[in-house]
Amino acid sequence: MENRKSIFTAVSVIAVSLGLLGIFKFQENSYNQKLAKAQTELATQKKALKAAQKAERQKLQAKAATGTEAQQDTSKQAKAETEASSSADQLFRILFTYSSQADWTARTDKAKQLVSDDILNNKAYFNDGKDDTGESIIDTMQLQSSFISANTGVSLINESNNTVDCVSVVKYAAQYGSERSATTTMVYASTYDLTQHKFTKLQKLGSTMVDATNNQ
Amino acid sequence: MKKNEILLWAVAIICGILAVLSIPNTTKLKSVNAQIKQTQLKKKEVATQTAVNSPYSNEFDLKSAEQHAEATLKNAIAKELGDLHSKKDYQANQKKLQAALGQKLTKELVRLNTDPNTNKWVITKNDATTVTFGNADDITKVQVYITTEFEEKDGSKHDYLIKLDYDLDNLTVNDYEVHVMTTSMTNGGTTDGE
Repeated sequence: MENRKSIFTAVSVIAVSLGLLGIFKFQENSYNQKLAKAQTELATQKKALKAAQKAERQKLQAKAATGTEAQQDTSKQAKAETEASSSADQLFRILFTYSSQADWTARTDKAKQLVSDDILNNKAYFNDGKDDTGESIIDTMQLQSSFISANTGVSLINESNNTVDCVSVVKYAAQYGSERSATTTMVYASTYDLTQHKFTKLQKLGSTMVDATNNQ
Repeated sequence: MKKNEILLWAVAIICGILAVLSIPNTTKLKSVNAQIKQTQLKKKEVATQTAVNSPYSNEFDLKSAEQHAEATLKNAIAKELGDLHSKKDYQANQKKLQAALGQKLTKELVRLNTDPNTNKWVITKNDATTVTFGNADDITKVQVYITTEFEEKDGSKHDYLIKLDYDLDNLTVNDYEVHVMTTSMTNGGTTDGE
């Protein structure tokens, strides 16, 4: 009798456990669906928040442009900073994006709008990419580079010549044949002319070990 | 107990444990839902929140704040990495430097100016220091990029990048990074550059 009772209890435990397992599995499925939906919703909400913040900033900026003298100064300075840093982003993207001789040569044309002739003629930044025999260094050595990011700081407007000084921390990944190099971080100093809307000075200061993964 | 009964109980216990282990964990969903609510709340308050630390509201004078910050930071860094030649020099300027750069960064820069073996001060002069500002949408957290070049007694020149998280409202350093810049490193195989 004892024996039967024990077997009955054990079987009951198994039956209840299996039943619960089934219910939990079903709940987990519906929970996973809800989670996926919630995550999509969160991403949408975050995007909307960013857009709202941007719109709000633009509204404030537009209002400031016709505000008090201090607000107008602020607006002018902020506008200069935005222009110079976005131009720096474009310039370094052009400089550090290539995977063939054709790409390399095309950089000069692409950068024409962004830099003075002095910089365009500077062999350190723009050259034909060929060695003494006329062979393409880029193609022969299979050089490639992809731009990752450029973070640019901009100085106060130099009122006497309407320019700003910039410091750019540029990250890119260069490849040499099948050897992939680690991300390189290079620091550049430059001068941006707000009248010509071009960089008039560009100087490579050196490389640093600024965190390669973090894009501020 | 018979062998079969023991086996049956073992199966029952395993099934029980499995059932307990498979209770769905809803913490993640709760956390995501909480984040959604938080984001919605932030969106509702976006107008006031954006205005609080924006350079465009409250008649904050960005230009004047950046002028102050530039002068303060440039003077302090050129002084510390150029004009301090002894402990006495440092002590005479310590308070002013700490007010501009904060205690930690002031100490860190002293390390650049002293030889760890002899404890002697090694920098003879500062050649150039440039202060530039990143996006100032939040004036209490502005990225500041400073480059500075100095010379040491042995004639060597050194370039550093100092990155600050800076409070333009209170003119204080929130956080900093100091990086040496080297020109000897290969340029990742590219042919641009020197």
